[in-house]
Amino acid sequence: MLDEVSLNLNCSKSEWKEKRSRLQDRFYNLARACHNHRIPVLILLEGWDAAGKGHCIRYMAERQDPRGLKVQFFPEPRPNDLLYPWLWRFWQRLPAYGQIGIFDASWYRRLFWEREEGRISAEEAAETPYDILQMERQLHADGMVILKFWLHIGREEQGRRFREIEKNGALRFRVTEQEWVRNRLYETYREIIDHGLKLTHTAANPWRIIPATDERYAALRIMEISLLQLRRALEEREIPVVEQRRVLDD
Amino acid sequence: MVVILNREGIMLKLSDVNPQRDMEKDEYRRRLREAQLRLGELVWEVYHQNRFVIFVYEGWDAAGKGGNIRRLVQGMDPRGFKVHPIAAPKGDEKEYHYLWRFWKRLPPKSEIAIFDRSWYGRVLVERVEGFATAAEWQRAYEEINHFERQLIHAGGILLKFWIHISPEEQLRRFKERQNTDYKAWKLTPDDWRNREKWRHYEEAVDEMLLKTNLETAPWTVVAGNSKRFARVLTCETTIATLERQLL
Repeated sequence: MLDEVSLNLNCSKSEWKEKRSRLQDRFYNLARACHNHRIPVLILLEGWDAAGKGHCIRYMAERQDPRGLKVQFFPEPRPNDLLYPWLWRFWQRLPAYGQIGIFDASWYRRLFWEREEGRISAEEAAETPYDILQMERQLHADGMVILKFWLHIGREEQGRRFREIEKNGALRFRVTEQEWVRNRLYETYREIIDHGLKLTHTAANPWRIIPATDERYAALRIMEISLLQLRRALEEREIPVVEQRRVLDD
Repeated sequence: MVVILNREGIMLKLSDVNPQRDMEKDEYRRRLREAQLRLGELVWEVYHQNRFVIFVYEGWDAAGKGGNIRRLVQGMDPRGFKVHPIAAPKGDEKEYHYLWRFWKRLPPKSEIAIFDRSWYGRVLVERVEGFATAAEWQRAYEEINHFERQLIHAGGILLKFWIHISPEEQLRRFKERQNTDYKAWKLTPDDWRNREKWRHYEEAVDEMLLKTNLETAPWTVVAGNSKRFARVLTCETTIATLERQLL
């Protein structure tokens, strides 16, 4: 699946300027409709290190109603998380009916990274795709709109970004030995990830591969797809959406 | 998955089960006390091996679930177990998938959780009373099985008890509660209403036993007309299961 995407897509400065606020306004309207009809929405962002998940999340979340949208970040499992079945920590932070949850990393961490890192056994790795598919199916059947995005960049681009981050004193902590190891093993991980994406790509909960070399392009793409899918979800339930320009501004 | 078979080798239905199995008072006292002591020891084994145990109690109204639980835990260190009485979802619980409130109550490793009524409510009361749509309770069997398999894979030991009494025995107990001042609060109009739907519930239980009897998490149907018998049976079944899993 990763091969099907061209990494060189970008958006111009004028396109960004023209679209960015307008799309956020539309998101606000659709989010309100979802809230009024108790539809839970999960926007799940996965991708390479330094692919730009943070930037996309900031774009999606800024100017939205913070009471109705929560960003959840899932680093490696903490010691407390290991006391429970592995999906427990995600069940604790799912969006409620009428809420939007944005997941920065997710249960896919276990599918893409943890086996190679030696954190889980072969049996656990074998059960992981099945557990994920079952969970997403349950949530979808319960009415949740699940939007899954993989942010994709090339190996050289990733290396370039790591070096940029390392130059910046404040953010240098984000690039450690582990990140460089993953960069060296890019091809190995690429195969694992491609396989994982295929296994968990379903009609109900499909993956969307987002070329992220241009971070603004990626942010707009994710927003546009989310708007389309929310609109579809509302139409399926025959809910009309009232578009209004935000009067209150920043 | 394993289908429970009756004596003739045919799939078990509740109407096949004889709820009347008795036990003499002296035998009851002796066996219960021994079992409680042994359970107290086994709880420490759960702790040392960093496993966790989940009990699911389902059964007819007035079947004796509460009393059974009380005798089960009497010999256990109270820091090691928690009892969760489950009723209709309230507050925040209504804002999520129906399993969410059970994920919230899962015990961490080294602990024990006992559910007095459980996620099976989806395919029992919610099915019979129409709180869940047909689509919802029909897909619940698989959701429950997947949920329980995850618990097992994470190191959990699952014990599921259906406490079975006859309708005559239930009526006798309802009348007794009515006439006992410190128990009268336990009898509500809901109990009488559920009784009218006995056959519907029986059908729901049969389907539940058929579809959620996992080899790694089997159901135990407990003859419950005699409370003494039921209490000893659940304790001794628990001991056998824990010994098999831990020792």
